[in-house]
Amino acid sequence: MRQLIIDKLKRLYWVWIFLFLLGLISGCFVPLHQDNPIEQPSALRFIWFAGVGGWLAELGSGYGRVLLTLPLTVRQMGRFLWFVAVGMPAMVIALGLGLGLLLQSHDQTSMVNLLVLWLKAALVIWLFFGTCFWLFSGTPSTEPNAKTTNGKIHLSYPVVFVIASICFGYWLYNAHIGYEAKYLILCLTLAAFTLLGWFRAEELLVDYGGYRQIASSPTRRGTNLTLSSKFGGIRFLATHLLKKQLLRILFGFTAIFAVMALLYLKRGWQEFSISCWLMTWSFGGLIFVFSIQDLALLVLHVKYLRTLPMTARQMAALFLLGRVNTNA
Amino acid sequence: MNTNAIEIRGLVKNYPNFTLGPVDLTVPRGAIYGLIGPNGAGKTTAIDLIFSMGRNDAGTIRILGLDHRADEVALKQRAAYVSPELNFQVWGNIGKAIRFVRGFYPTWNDAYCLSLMKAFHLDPDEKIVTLSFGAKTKLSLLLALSREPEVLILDEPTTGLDAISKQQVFAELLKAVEDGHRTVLVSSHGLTDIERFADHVGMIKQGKLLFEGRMDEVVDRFRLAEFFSVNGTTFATRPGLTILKHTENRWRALLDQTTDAQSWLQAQGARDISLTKLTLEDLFVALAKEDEEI
Repeated sequence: MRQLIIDKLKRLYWVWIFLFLLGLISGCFVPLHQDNPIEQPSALRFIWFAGVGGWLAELGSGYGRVLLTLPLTVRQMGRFLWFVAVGMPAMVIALGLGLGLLLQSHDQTSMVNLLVLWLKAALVIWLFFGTCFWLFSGTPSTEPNAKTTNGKIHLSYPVVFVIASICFGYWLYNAHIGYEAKYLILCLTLAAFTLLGWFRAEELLVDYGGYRQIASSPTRRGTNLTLSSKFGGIRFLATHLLKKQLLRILFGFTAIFAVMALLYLKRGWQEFSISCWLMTWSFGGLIFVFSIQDLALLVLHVKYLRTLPMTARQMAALFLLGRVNTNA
Repeated sequence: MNTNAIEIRGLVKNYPNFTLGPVDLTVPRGAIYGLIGPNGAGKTTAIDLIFSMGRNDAGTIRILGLDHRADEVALKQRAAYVSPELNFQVWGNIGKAIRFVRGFYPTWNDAYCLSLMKAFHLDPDEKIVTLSFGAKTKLSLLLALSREPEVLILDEPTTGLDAISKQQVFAELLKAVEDGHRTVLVSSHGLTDIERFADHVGMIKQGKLLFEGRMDEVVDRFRLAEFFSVNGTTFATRPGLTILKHTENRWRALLDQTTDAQSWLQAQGARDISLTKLTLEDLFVALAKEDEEI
């Protein structure tokens, strides 16, 4: 496993340098005088979204298959996958953050307070990364080529959701709980999801490693040879894209507004802190990443798409807007 | 000592629209075993399961006596996998991919690796992204052969290769197995290559293994039977007899000589039965088209 980690470090050195610098800059500007100083560095969690799409695409592109042929157990490789996607980025950011905190502290803050603050921020970032990993890894056996079924994992989902719902509900309906309690609830909720991601890593690797092009996969063998009589061609492709993206956006924004409405009903607008807005934006970011994942899949098949009777401009419009002006 | 290099027993893998197995497959030590079958028959699925690319729902897989789950690491040390679907692109160039893979295998042979690079016309500084499909397969083969595995499992190794490249690949493979200590399981659609290269053959269709055995025995076992029916007698497919085509009273069928199919035909009144030897390709086409309308 050491070789895999060293390979990842060397191959993607610029990513680790970037993460370290982000942590460092964030650490230099942490508002140490505020009650909840970890709010700002915790925002770094959102950068994880940017990298995960590429990481999972790398796994599905055949890198996962290469990993599975190496003389390591699937469990070892699953742990490696989780470590480089969650543990390593969190550690690198935490290192930068720690250095940044030291640089800006002078002698106004005691070292113990600084250490506690650093540990808290690092923990939140780590748990957020763990949660994001789980979010992106999907639920078991929902991928088109999923090759794994594990009863324990299926069972763990409702359990974790119950824990998370209780924590979130408690946080939502207790306006006057203190900052420390909020932190604890947040960590508990995220830890539950992080644990799910940890359990999922091994299966995820097998799913992605075993991924084959849809056309060559036996799971895609059509048994029902009826064809839809509805319209096809570019109109189908455009509405198909638009429909999926619209549904995701609709779902995401409904969730955001539901949370905001609940907060408003309970506490009023004055309670909308920076973290609330950050949360809203992060949901938006998540939806965006999900949307472009769809587009990325289409781009992978651009070679075929270029054989379709449409101009490059029409295709670009299709990718960006989800619709085509056929008069163009 | 176990005389079989690969033993697959009762292997089952279920998908929503497809079930592989139960499959029993045996590859003797030192054999070159060709696994053939139509597209989507389950060849790659079966091979993938050996390397834990997916989990089997039932059955056991043993390579050199090692269980594919319990002895996963030892198995992967001694068996290598080659497929055009392996992607080494993340390492940038060929040299870096070699450096990465080499680190995992104590048996890695640098001199052999260099000679293969020369034979396959691969340059360590060449970017993997710019390689042709065939060159990527050659790289995959180079990475597998250089570690000198005892068992070599190749999934469609000649896909995308031109005639010269195919010749180079087979020449290297033959060189690798000439001492008789190395076992090769190769799945391919190149039936002529399989017939020339392999000494054992097995055919999978719709997730089931139709037959397996020594190449000469398998080819010798089946015959193309042509015969005539009298008084409107009709014949249907039965064990050992696969009806391929009939026009009026003239019939064409695939006959398994290890069964009583020929005597049954005679008993049913078939006249002028003539038996013709088949090539592997004829046999494949006949069995692959078995369910199609005749």
